[in-house]
Amino acid sequence: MSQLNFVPLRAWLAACAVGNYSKTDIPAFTSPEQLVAAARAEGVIGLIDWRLRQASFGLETKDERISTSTFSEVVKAFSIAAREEALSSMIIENESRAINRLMAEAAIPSLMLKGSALAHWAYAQPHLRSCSDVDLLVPSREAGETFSARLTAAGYERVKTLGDLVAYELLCRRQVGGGWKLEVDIHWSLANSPLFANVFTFDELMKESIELPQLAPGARGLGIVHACIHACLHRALNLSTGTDDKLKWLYDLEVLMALFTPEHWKRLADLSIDKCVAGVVSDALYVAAATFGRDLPARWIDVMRGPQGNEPLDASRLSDWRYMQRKSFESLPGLGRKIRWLWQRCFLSHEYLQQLYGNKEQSYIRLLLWRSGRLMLRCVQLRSIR
Amino acid sequence: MNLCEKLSIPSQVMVREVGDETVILDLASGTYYGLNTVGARIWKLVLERQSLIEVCDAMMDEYETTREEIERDVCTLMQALLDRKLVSVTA
Repeated sequence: MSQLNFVPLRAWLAACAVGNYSKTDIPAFTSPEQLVAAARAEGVIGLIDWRLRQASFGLETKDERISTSTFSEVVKAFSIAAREEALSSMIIENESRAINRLMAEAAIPSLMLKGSALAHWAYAQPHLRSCSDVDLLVPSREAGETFSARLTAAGYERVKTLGDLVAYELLCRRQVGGGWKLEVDIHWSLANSPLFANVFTFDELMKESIELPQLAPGARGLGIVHACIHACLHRALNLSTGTDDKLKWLYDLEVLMALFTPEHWKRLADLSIDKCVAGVVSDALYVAAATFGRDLPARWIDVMRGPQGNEPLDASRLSDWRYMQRKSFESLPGLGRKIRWLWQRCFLSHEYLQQLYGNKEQSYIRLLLWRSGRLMLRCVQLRSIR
Repeated sequence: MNLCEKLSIPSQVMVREVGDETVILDLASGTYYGLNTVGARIWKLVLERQSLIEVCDAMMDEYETTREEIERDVCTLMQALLDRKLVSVTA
């Protein structure tokens, strides 16, 4: 009798996502529903389904604890879940087309960001990249306000966001049929933090942008190197707020790296050093490569790791909330902005707190106390983890 | 259903291939449908071909069955899709 197979679910999903798994790797004593739930949490249902279908002709095993029917059940469970992903992807695509039409009418230049763009050029099929919203980059806050008014006139509801120094975006939401709620995030900066807000100008990004004809005529997304750096910055900000690496975000880096030519690697190294984010970029690439078993080109990674000590951010402390908040504070120019940032961080608006905690009745003071309690609890939990 | 008719996909209908199935979403009603392998193949041919006769010709090359059976299957599926406004007859 062979040894019991206790492969962690995440490791199985990661191996499966790149088609690098064997039949007996399916974690033992795990139901198809558990596998689907784990894939859903990691945002890789469509991807796993696609890989399983590619390999399903060989899903038989001689392992007596894992019957052929178990494999069939896994494949079936993923195919049902992938249908939902396909539906969601079609709804988002349709809405993205409408948004691009509105943008063109308003004569506002824009770039599609993150999954809403990558799904249409970096992935084999759009539904393989799970998305829940549409992210757009516009040249300025004013352009964002103008477009947000257009969206509101088209049936969207404006959602309250944090202050302009804490969140560099406007949010609009709409019910899009079948019970789906779609959120459009209108960014006027590539990253939602003063740490990275000014790393690239809109014009720099537009200059290297690419067309997304599969999505809509005139739609554009970030160029491959900018898209890669953006994914790395996004990861850094996620880590700073306690959001762990999801496989779907790391897989974005994996697909981009798979498409990289030596020229792209050189450009990535030059640009990330020039913009003082080489540490953040190389750290993200290293984690993505380790997760999916990719060999990184040592030459370029070494080049990017070289100047890390001279960069404002220590890439080994991205998950340290206090460190990242301090760095955000330090990155703001002038005392006035620093004070405004502190105010926006500490005293969120009543409307925003009501939205955040889904409680329309509670008073402002009660919601502030509730938030303070939650933050203190999180600090205690973080300390105990460390 | 007339085999000489040409069909097209209305703008409110979106389609995605998921493995060997095809998922069709009617954005107007929010309803979705799944087509199996054969249905998906017919759908794809409808998109590529001029008329249902040409769809049946192509199916004859791919499946070992009678012309009569293929025409019946194609007509049945297309009528079901027409009834649900997932395809429309091109004038």
